Amino acid sequence: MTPPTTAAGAPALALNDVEMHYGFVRAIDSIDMHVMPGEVVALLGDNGAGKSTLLKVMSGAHKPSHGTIRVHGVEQSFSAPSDAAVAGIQMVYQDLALVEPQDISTNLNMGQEQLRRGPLGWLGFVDRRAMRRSSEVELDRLGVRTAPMTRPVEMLSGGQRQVVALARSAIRVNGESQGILLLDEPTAALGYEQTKNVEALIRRMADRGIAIVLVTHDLPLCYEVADRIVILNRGKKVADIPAAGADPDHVVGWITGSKASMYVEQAV
Amino acid sequence: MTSRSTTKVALAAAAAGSLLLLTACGGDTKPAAGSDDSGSGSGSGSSKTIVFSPIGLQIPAMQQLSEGVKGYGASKGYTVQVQDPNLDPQKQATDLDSVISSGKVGGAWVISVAPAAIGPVVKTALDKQVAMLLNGVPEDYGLSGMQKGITFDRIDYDALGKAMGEELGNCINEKLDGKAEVLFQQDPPGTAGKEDIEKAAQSALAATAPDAKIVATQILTDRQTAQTDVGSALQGNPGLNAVFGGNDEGALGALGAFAAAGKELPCLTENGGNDEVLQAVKDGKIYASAALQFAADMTQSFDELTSLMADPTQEGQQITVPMKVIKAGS
Amino acid sequence: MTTPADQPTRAGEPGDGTTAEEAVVPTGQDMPRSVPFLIFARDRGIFVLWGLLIVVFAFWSSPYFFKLDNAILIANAGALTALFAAGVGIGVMTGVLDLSLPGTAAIASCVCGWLLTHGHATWLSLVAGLACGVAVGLVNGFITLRGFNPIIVTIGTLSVLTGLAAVVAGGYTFPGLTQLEFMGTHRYFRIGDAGQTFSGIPAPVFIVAAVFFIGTIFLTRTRDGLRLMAVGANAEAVRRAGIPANRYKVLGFVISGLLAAIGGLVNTANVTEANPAASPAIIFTALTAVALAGVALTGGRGSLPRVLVGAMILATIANGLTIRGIQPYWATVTTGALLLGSLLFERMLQTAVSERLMSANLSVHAKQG
Repeated sequence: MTPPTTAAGAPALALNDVEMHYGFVRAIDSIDMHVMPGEVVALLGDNGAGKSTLLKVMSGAHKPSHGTIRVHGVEQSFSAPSDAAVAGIQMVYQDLALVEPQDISTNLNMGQEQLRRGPLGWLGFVDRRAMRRSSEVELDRLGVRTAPMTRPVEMLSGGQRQVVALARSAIRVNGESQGILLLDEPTAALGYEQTKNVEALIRRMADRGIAIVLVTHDLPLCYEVADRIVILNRGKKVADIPAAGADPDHVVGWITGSKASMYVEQAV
Repeated sequence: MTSRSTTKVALAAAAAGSLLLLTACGGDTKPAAGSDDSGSGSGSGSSKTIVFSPIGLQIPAMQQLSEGVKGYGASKGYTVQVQDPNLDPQKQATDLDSVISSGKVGGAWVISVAPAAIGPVVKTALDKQVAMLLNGVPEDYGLSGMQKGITFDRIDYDALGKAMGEELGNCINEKLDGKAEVLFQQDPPGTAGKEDIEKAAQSALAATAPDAKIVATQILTDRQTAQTDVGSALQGNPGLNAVFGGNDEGALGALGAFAAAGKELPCLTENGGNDEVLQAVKDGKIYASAALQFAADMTQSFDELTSLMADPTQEGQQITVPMKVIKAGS
Repeated sequence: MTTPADQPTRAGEPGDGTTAEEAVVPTGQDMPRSVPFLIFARDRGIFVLWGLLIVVFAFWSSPYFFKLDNAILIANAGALTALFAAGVGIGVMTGVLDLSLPGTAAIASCVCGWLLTHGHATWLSLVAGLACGVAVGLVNGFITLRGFNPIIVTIGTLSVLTGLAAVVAGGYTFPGLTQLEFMGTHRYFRIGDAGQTFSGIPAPVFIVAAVFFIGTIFLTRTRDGLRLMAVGANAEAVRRAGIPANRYKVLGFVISGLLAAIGGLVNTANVTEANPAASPAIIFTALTAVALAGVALTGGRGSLPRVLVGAMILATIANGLTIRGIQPYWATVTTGALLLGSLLFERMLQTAVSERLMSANLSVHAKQG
C-alpha cells in the first residue's frame, strides 16, 4: 500500500514492506506505515506484537531484513542510531537516559555543548551561561516552563524528568529539518497530573511540525493526543485508522486479535 | 534428559572426579606460585640441590645474601634454588613444603619469618632426611634440644639491642653532655626478636646514659610513613635530639624528617646496615649501625649445611650469626 | 508554576506569538525552602568537620598543634594521600574503581629511579615516570572496554606492575635520588636565614594545590570534564547523545594512572629513594579520604575539593594524635569512626531532602494559575 501523497508533500517517515527476522521468527512482517510532518501516530499492540522491534528499526538500532525506509521522501539505510539521528530521527527511551547528577541545562545540551569564544574555548571551556540561555529559549518555544536550568535532574519529579527528556529530543530534531520523534511508553511511570503535562507537550511539539510515533499501552493517552492509530498484532499491521471517532471496542479487538485485520483478503 | 544435558552432567562428573583425584594425590598443601626456580635439576641430583628461603627478597641484605649463596653454592657444585616468602610466613611454609615433600632438594637453608609456621615443614624434613639450617633455637620450632641433621643459627637479639642502646648512650654522652630526648622506633608486633631487642636496648641505654629520656615511641611501617611520623613527633617534642632506629627504613626516614624540618640530629643508632645507611655512617649522619653479618657468616653456614647433607645422621650444632657495630672511622 | 524568584530570564523574544496565558505546560510546584539548606549541609559539611577537628586538636594538643609550622607539616603529609585520593576519586566519579594505583606508583618511581641512577636528565626521568602512568591507564582502559570487570582488571594489572617494578629495580631499590629534592623536601619562600622567620612551604603542597585546582576546573568547566562525569553517572545516556562514551572511559583510567604516577614520584622525591614494594595500604587511605568526601561509589557525582579536605582530615587526625604521643592505631580507629559517622549523617540528610521534595511534588494542584 503506497502512502498517500497529500498536498502537504511527502511523509516525514515512510516504511514500505519492512520486515525483521530473527532466525525463523518474523518479528515484523510486511509493514507499511507512514507519518506526516506534524502528525502524531499511536502505535498500539499487545506484548510481543512487534511494537518495540518496529520502533528499533525506525530508530536505526536494527537493520530491517527487508523493505525500505524513507525520510522526507529520501530513502535511508541506518547502520546505527547515530545515522538515524543525522537523518533527523530521535528516540526517547523508556529509561529516559538522563544524566541525573547534572543540571537541566547540561542535559539538554549534552553532545552539543557550546564552547567559550577565544583561547578558553580552545582549551575546552564551556559557556555555561550561553547554554542556559539557549536552553531556556528552546523550552520557551515548546511552551515548557519547568524548574530552573541549574537544578540537577535528580531533584525533579518523574513528570518533570519526562518533560526534560522529551524537550531534549525535540531540541535535537528541530535543529535539522522537520524532525521525527519516536516515543517509547512516555507515560508508563507517571501519575494522572503528570500524564496531562506530557500530553500537552506532545501536542505542542506536533504543532511545531514534528512527526511523532508514540508507542503506548495507555489508551486514554492515545485518544487524547494521536491523529491516527496503527495497531500491530503478531508482527503484522492489522489496522490503520484515524483516532477521531475510533471505536474503542474495535481498537481493543484488533489489539487482542479477536477482531480480524482490516487487510484480510476476502476468501474466494 | 536430552543428549545435551547428559553430556553436561558427564563432563561435570569427570571434572569433579579428577579434582578429587588430584586432592587425594596432593596430600599436603599445594605450593603457591612463587618459587624462583634457578635451574634446579629434576629428579636426579636432588642431593645436590639446596633451597634457600630468606625472609623476603625485598630486603637488600637478603637479596645480596641470596646472590652470594647461589654463587658460592655453584662454585662448590651445588644448585641453589631461591624462594621469596615476601615476609609471609604461610607462603614460606607452603613453598618450602612443596620442594621438601617431593624430595626435590637435599638441603634447606631457611631464615624464617615466623618459626612457628615452619614447624610442620621441619618435621617433614626430618622424616625425609633433608638437612636444614634454621635461624633461632630448636624450641622456636617445637623441638627440644639439638636434632640430627639440623643446625640452628641464632641471632643474638639481646646482643643486638644491647649494642644499639649502648652506642646511643655513648653518643649522647659524647655529644649531648649525657642529656637527651629520645625517640624510640619499634618493630611492628610479631617481628622476630622484638621484645628481646627492645628490652636490651632500653636497659643498655639507661645504664650508659641515665639522663637520657625516651619521650616518644613510634611503630615502624615504611620509610615515607616514618618520615611523616617523625616529623609530627618533632612538632610535639621540639627538643628531640636522639633517635633509636628500629630498622634501615625507619632510620633513613628519621634522617629525612629532621633534614626537612631543618633540625640537627646528633645521635642516631640503628639496626640493619644497608648501603645507604653505611654511607650515612661514613658521612657522620648516623652514629652507629649494628649490622648482622649474614654475608660473612654465609660461607661458614653453607659448609655446615653441606656437611650435614652428606651425613644427615650427624647431630647439628647451635651457631650464632656474627654481629658488627659500624661507626664512623671503623 | 515557578515562583517569581525562579523565573528564567527571557530575552524578550516572542517568536511564535505565545503569550503568558497560552498553554504552557505546568510542571508542578517548586522547591521547598529548607532543601537548599540541607543540600548545603551535605556538600559543605566536610569543611565544617575539618574546622571542628582543628579546633579540638588546637586545644587538646596545644601548644604544638596550632602553629604555622605544623600546619605546613600537615599539608605536606596530607599531600601524598591527597594525590592518590584524587586518582581514586576521579576514577570513582567517572565510573571506575582503579585498584592498580599502588602498582602504577611503584613502576613510575622505579622507571624514574632507574633513569636517574643511570645518569639521565631529571626532566627526562620524570616524564618517563609520568608516561608510565598514562600507559597503565590506557592498558586498564582498553582491557576494561572489552567488557571485563574493572575491579578484577585493575587487580590484575596491580600484580603485573608490582612484579615489573621489582624487575626494573633488580630486586633492590634506587636510593640517593637527591636530584628530585626540588619536588620533595625542598622548601620554597623561606624568609630569614635558615628559615627562622618562615620556614617555607615544601614542594608537595604546591604540587597538590596545582593538581586539585586544575582537576576541579577540568571536571566542572570543560566540555570533556563534564562529559567524563556524565559517563560516570550514566554511560548509556552519553552514548545515546551521540558521544563516544568509551573514549571517556579510557580517559578516566588515564587520569587515574597519571595521578598515581605523580603520587609515586612525589613520594620518591620525599624520601629520595625509589622502592618497588607497592603498599596496598595506600589504596585504603585514599579510599577512606574519598568516602569521607561523600563521593558516591555509583559514579558521576562528587567534588575534588572535598576529596582534598578528606585527605587533609586524615592527616590532621594522625598529626594531632602523634603530637599527643598516642599510638597510631588510634588514628585509624578515629578515622574509621568518622567515616561511619559521616555515612550516617549523609543518609539522614538525603532522607530529609527526598522527603521534602516528595511532599512538595505531590501537591501539584495547590499553586496552579
